[in-house]
Amino acid sequence: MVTNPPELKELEQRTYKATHSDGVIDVFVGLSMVVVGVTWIVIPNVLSGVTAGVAIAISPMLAWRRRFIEARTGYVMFTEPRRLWERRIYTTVAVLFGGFMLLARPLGSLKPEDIDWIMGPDSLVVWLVAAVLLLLGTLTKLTRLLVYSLVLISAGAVPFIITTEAFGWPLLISGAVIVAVGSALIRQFVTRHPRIGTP
Amino acid sequence: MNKRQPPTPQPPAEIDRLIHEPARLIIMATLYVVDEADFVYLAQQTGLTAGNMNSHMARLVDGAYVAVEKTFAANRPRTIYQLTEKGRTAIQEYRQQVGNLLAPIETMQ
Repeated sequence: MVTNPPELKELEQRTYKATHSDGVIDVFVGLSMVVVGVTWIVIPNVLSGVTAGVAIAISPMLAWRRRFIEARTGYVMFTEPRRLWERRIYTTVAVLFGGFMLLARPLGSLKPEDIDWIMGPDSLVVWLVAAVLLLLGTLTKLTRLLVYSLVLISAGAVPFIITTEAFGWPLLISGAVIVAVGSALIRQFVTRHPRIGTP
Repeated sequence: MNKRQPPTPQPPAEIDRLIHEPARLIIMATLYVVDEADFVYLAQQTGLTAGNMNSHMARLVDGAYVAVEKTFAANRPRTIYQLTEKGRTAIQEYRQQVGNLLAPIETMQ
C-alpha cells in the first residue's frame, strides 16, 4: 500500500510554502536586525537589553501573525511530523538567539580598536545567521531564505571593505534588505488574500 | 515471439467514485497532507467556490471520509475538517486503483 507517495509530499511542501509566503516573520527578523544593529552602532552598552526586548516580542509577534494569516487564508494545522520539525527549528533558533543574548553584554562593550581579530564579532554574528538561514532555506525549500543568506554573507564582508568605527553595520544593512523584501511580500500577500469573513 | 503482456487493468467500476470527482479529489489530497483545516483554507487551496465546497464536502462527510468539527475562534464560527481513518485509507487505495488502471499505458510507452 502506498503510504507516502512523492506527489503528496510535493503537495504538502507546496501547501506549507504557500502558508509561509506572508513576509511577517521576514519583517520582524529584519527589523530586529536593524534595531540590534543600530543599537550596537549607537549605544552598544544597551545591546543586551535591546536583544532581550526583541526576544520578548517574538511570542506576541507569532500570535499576531497567526491571526493575520488565518483572517486571510483560513486555519490549517500541519501533520505531527511537520510540527515536530518546526519545533526543532524554533528550538535551534531560540538556542542561537539565547547564545547571542548571553554574549550581548560583552559584545556591546567591545570596540573595534580593542580587538585584533581577523573579523569583527558583527561579521561572525551575521555569518552564523546566514548559515542558519542557508540550512532552513534548504530544508524548507523557501528560496528567499537562501537569498537572505547571500545578503547576510555579503553584509558580513562590509567591515572588510569599508572601515567602520563601530560594530553592527552588517546587521543593519542585511536587516534593512530583509525588511524591504518582507514588506513587499506582505503587500503581495494582502493583495492576493484580502481579509475574508467566516462562512 | 516474446510478447510483453501488460497488466490487466481493473474495471473502472472498482474506482472509488466518491474520490474520483476532481473537486473531491483535490479536497481529499489537501486534507491528506495536513492534519486539519477549516473551510476557508480548503476553499482557497482548492480554488472552489463556497457553494461547490459545501456540496462536495457534504458528500465526503456522508461517506465518512471527512470528519467535521464546528468551533469558535475569536467569537466567530469555524468549521474544521479532518480526514478520517477511512478517508485516509480510501485515498491510498484510490491511488493504487488509478495506478493499476494506468499501468498498461505506461507499459506501452
